Amino acid sequence: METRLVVSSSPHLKTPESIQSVMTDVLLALFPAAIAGVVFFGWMGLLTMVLCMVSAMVTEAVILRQKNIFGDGSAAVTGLLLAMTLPPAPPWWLTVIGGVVAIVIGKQVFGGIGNNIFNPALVARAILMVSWAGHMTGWLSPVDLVSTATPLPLAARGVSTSFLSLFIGTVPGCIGETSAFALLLGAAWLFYKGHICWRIPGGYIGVVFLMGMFFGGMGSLATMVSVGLFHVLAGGVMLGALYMATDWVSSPVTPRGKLIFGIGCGIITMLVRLYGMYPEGVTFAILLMNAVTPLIDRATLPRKFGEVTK
Amino acid sequence: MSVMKDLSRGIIRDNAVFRLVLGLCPTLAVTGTAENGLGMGLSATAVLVCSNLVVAALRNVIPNKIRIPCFIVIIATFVTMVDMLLNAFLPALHAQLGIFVPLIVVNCVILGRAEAFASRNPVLNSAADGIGIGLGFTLALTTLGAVRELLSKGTIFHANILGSGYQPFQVFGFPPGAFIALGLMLALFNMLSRKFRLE
Amino acid sequence: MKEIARLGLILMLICAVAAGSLSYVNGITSAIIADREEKEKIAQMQKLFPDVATLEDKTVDGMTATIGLDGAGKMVGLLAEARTEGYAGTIRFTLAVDGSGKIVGVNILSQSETPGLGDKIKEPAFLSQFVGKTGKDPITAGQDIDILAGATVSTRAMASGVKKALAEILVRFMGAEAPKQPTFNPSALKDGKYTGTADGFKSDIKVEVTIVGGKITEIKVLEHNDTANFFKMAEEEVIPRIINKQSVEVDAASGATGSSKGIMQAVLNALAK
Repeated sequence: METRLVVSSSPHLKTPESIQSVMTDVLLALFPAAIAGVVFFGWMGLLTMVLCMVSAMVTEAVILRQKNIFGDGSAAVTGLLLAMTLPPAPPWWLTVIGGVVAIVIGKQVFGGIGNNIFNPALVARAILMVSWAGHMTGWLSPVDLVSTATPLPLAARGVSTSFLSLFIGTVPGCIGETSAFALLLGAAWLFYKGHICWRIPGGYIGVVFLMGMFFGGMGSLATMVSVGLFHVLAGGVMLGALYMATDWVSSPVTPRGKLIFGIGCGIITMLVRLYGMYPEGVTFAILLMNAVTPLIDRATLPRKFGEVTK
Repeated sequence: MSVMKDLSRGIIRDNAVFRLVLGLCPTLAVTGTAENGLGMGLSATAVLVCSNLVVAALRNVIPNKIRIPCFIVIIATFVTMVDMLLNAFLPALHAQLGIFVPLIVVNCVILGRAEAFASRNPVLNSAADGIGIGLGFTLALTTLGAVRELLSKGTIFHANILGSGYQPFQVFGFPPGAFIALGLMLALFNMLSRKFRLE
Repeated sequence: MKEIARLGLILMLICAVAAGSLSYVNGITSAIIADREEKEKIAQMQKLFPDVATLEDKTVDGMTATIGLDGAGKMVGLLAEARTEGYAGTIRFTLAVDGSGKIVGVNILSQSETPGLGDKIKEPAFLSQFVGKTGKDPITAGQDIDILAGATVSTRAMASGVKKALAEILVRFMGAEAPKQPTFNPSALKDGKYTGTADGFKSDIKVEVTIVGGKITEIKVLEHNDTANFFKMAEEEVIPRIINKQSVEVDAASGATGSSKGIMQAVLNALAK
């Protein structure tokens, strides 16, 4: 962008889009979920989000030795995404370490933006989860902020969590994951701008629903559907499927690859939830699928025009 | 090359872990604490010196075609001996290192030195090489163990360094933390060696 | 051919020397190791029961215990291994019980509970709660065993596992009488409503059973705190089966075994009074 004269061979495609403009769009898309986080979890939610973004942006600026702290905006997105996967009131140092880890270990060691194999926010979350499981599961019930359990592992407290409250987000959980409504609203903006397509979230959410239905346990059709729906709305599937798995850098580029990626994420998530030792598997599922992204891309490479199969 | 040079080279310049990037299985697996790293390093050093000695002594007897099986038999013999001796005389350390002592057999540092050095150098130089590489290996494992122990428990050699208020960074106690810590240390070592022109 | 024979011979020679030297070292160390292991075993038992002089391994009904005897050959205590199903797989633990049937110590051998939450069951602060308990104590999570924050299922699994293991030890090694398996016969019961409670997956389940004309006609769940969706599955499947069979010996709902078993046990407890 700085150099006016670009010498390169044809074709010359020009787009007003830049990394910065895309990242700004993503930030805008995360806005509804962030608002929901503040409404439900109060100023601690806001503080965590701000602290996490600042820590990620400062780390990035220091490593790249750049004066503009916002930079290309990718660190801000990483920080905000990470904050959304944190519990409502983590200790301040946990938030700061999370931001630093996301940028250093999740992104810069691989060579910075565009080169990271894994989603940086999820790398940080996985490391924090393994290191400080106690702090990472300090769930608060929304609004009245009393310590409690999330719907997913030890859910419902006798009264079934209503699907309406799961959809709106008035359930305990991470800052940005509880409100499916706010997340869908933001995702609609990304769809509209063409930054994400339906394949990854569609494959992901579809598989979670089907596996929840058929492996969550047998019962009447209504119960099976409700268990499936519960698995889609509870926990981090919505946030993961719409914002994390769709990360440009760490997900496949081919259309078929995207579908495979989404389905793989869904299968691993449900395996962890149903049979694993952690109650939630979104983080590990997306990280594992990130690792096989290059393989998926190679296997699903579209044929060149006119190419003949041997 | 002089014996002294063969000895000193293995410690920093040809450090098995940080420069040759060999023997990573034990490096990653048993460095949860500084003590385990030290114990593993010294056990491997003992095996390395013995196997280097014997391989060098037999280097003109062992036919080229079957040298690898011969090396493995020699190394396995010493490893089994170390395993039995540790179990008999240092049971606490033996219990800590567990399965990783028998696994010294497949530690590529030892086979690598037998193949690359001991099979083509005199006995004395080979022993010196074994000691040097062994000490370098021990140094690397102990440092890595110390770093991981400090971060994951706040202690080094069980001595509390960071105080009781420290919130342990537990990931460094687990296998993923071993990879992260080793990667960061390799980066640091590369940076330092470029600065001091070790190349 | 000659070449192969030569190579084989050399390799064989090296192996022979290796084997010889190994058997020599083994000869020196094996006695020391065996001696030390025996001493360690006794020392471990003596830590629990200071009067132990000799040990004896005994297996009754598939349960193996190391029994510590004093100088006179009287049992002072035993150490047995048991297992229980936790949140994420089997928890193996040892239970030390003294001659009077009191728990002296519980030690976790292996577990795969969630790191940082469920795996707190292996900490001394948690395990020491079991010390001093006897067969008469409730040994129930939430009563005399504190529930670990964020690890309800693991705590409950440990409490019920220890309780069950202690009961088995008392019957098998200490000569306690086996408790009568409670049974019921619906046709012998008067018409009316009966209530009973039992352990579910993570909470107590309270049911009300209606008997009309010597038959179970209705089972209502009054209280429970299990995960709602999974409990519903258990409820929908298990209750019709019980009414159908007029017995609690029915299959559990897959995916909701804990809640299913809780319902069956609660019905049994209600009617067996």
